[in-house]
Amino acid sequence: MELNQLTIKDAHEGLVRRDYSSRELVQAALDGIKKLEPKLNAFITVSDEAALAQADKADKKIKRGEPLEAVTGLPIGIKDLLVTEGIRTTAGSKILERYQPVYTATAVDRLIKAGAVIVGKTNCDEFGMGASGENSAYGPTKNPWDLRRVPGGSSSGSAAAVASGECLLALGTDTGGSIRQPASFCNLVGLKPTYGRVSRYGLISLASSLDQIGIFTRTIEDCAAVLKIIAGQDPNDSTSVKKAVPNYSAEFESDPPTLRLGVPKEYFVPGMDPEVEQITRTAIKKLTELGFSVEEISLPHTPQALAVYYLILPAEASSNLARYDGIRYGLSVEAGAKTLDDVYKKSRKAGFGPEVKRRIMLGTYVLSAGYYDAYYRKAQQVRTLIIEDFQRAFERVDLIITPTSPTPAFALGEKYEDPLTMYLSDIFTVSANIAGLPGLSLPAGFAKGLPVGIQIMASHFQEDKILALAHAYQKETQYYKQTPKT
Amino acid sequence: MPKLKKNEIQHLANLAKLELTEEETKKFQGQLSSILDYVKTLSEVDTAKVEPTAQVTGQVGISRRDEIQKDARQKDILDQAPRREGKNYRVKAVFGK
Repeated sequence: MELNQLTIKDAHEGLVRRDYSSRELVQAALDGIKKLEPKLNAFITVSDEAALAQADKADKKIKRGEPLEAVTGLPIGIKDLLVTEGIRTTAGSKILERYQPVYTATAVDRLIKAGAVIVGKTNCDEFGMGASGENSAYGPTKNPWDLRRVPGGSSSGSAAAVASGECLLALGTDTGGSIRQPASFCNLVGLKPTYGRVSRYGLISLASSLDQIGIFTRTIEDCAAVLKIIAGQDPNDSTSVKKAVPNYSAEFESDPPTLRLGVPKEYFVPGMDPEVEQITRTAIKKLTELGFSVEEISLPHTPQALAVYYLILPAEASSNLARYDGIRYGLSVEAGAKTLDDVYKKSRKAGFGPEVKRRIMLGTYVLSAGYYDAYYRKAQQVRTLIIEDFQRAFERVDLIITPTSPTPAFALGEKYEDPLTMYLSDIFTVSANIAGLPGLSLPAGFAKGLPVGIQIMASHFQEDKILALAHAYQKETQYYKQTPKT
Repeated sequence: MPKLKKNEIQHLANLAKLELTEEETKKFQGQLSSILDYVKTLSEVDTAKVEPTAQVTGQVGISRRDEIQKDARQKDILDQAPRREGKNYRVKAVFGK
């Protein structure tokens, strides 16, 4: 088996058995990066020297026979929207091209403390605004399954890097589907945990009430192991929740628990790809055969979710991005500026890309006097109704099964010029962010050779149930064993 | 909804501290109008008795002790600034002459 196609579990066991060293694993990842980056463009910054030094540290630990964590010595990628001390962090934007953070995001810090080795910072849509990776100021990332197609977004580089073996796992962020949709497009497991399960400290804010850090892996066991490490309360994020972190892997050895599954009728919409619908229905049938009870449910406010999302997101983003003013850090343009106000405007003009400007404008509009009640407050009210839909559903069922995205990976350029069509790509994933629920995308088959995932959602902090069901399904289907030829 | 007017786009850009090109202004007139049209569908939902939600996990009033913590990174933080004098940021005049 090639070293850069290993699961975390296998790589860890290999290190313990001393079949290979951490240096060899990390070198294999760096070789993969060198070979594939001209085609994929999954990384913005590669930190090879620091990575090899970290690998040697891990190897010393192994030699001394010290206890290892699940990720010790393994090469990982970090979305460039998470700050890393000592490694430049751009958020996919020109405005942060030379930004050197003075601290590290808590989730990343926890992985480093567990001995993981960062090989680089992965490409993404600028500030996480996009569903294709094409909004990065550092060029689009390509899908390893088909280089003419997008890997999904906004965590485009994280998905492409894990799928192609440039690293063994990656962190991403998910504000409206930015982990789950690319996981679906790249045949990976992608988890957005419950809002508050993982600290957002050091996540460059897009929409603070929706953002969450999450995980890309090949398998469910790997996802569970990484979640155990990064989850938990953090004094630096007051929205992180003080709640014990369960041992998510504990249940995989025994038979799966009894779980009632719901399939919302509103998630099968006209216009969705017929093969995606077929794959989702086949997956649901498989779950029935595995002994889980399945019933149709209704989430009546689903058709309004995307509109709610595209009001709340730009509103929060326009205020979060006000901090990029060219004064304290980041790109600053003084040429031709007479006043401080001119510096703000010229710096932001030069530093932000078109989608960022579009969403700042939209957010400014919906928050401005006279429109606040009609747009922003209205969206927050419908948000309540969407949450109540889920509360009613979770009285009857434990988990909700849906498609992850209405289509498989689309072609580069196909939706770039039409923002509204691009936004529709998030239609099945935004509700979990609006309600703060955990959601996971899981490989479920292929449509004309392109990966397709299904989504599992649960009530707050019930990641354990999602992982138990996903594990039972994965055990039967094993789609993760198929890897791209790129 | 009627298309946003050019001067409305310029007013918004000014509020958002953005300088737009002619081409961007024109593009945003069409794009923002069609997005606003789409989100207008929410007006069909009856929300007369519905409270707005901003926080989803029920966390209320989380605070920590107001204690001074020593931080050795002051220089690193200041060094990020494009222009400074000592411990101060140097900026252009706030008001034009």
